Amino acid sequence: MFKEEILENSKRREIFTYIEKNPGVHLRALQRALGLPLGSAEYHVDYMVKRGVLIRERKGRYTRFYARELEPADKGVLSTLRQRKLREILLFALPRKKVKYKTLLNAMKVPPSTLSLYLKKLVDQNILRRHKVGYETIYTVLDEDRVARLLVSYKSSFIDRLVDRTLSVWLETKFREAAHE
Amino acid sequence: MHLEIVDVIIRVALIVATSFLFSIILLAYLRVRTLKMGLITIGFGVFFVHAVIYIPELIFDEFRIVMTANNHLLIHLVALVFIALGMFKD
Repeated sequence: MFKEEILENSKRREIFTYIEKNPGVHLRALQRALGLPLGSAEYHVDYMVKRGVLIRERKGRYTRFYARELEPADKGVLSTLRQRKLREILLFALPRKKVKYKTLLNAMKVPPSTLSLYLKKLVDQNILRRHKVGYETIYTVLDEDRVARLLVSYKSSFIDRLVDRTLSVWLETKFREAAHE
Repeated sequence: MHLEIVDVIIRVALIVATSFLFSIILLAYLRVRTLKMGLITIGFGVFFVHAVIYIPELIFDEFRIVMTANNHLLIHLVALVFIALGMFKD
């Protein structure tokens, strides 16, 4: 289920990038350019229009699509999302709306201290809200449309990917458990 | 002591490799700013400085750093200790 969300988001990012470079493109042209089935292209475009990532403009027989500009506040948050693991946490949390800390820990497969660090970053950026229900810590996505927009709009660079891999090795590997096994 | 071409190539390659690794590790630290990544960054920083201090020797004949083999190994050990501390820190 989680892999599906990553794949869907990567297709949406491809569509968004294409529309950004070709503003005013219509659905058929988009579908042909990216080699997507029409139904799939329509589904993703509709999702992004509903979330406010794309603008749909109808003129006569034609429907054209434009990428929505990011708000200045969102641009600051985008730098937080340059990290792959943070995006994965959001991709996991977004369809579930509320997610327990333990569920995230099992899904993300990182040491608890690393997950806590990442969650704190997302809470500090007002992307997630943290609250306790009994002994459980629950995280809720604040403003789902905004999060969906950000997940589609971020652009990772070669350096970002290198840094992601570095953090994956040093921060997300359980050296202690490996030493004790 | 005159530096041979192979000495120059090895030193330049070492500087390029350590600079590249140190800069990526430093960017990773700046992203998360945790003590764990800080310790690892210091370790790679020590390797980087150890490579960089030989640059003047490439340009100026008069400039020589004289270190025994044990001193070189000690610098490597210090770097590896920092990296190990970072690895095993929660």
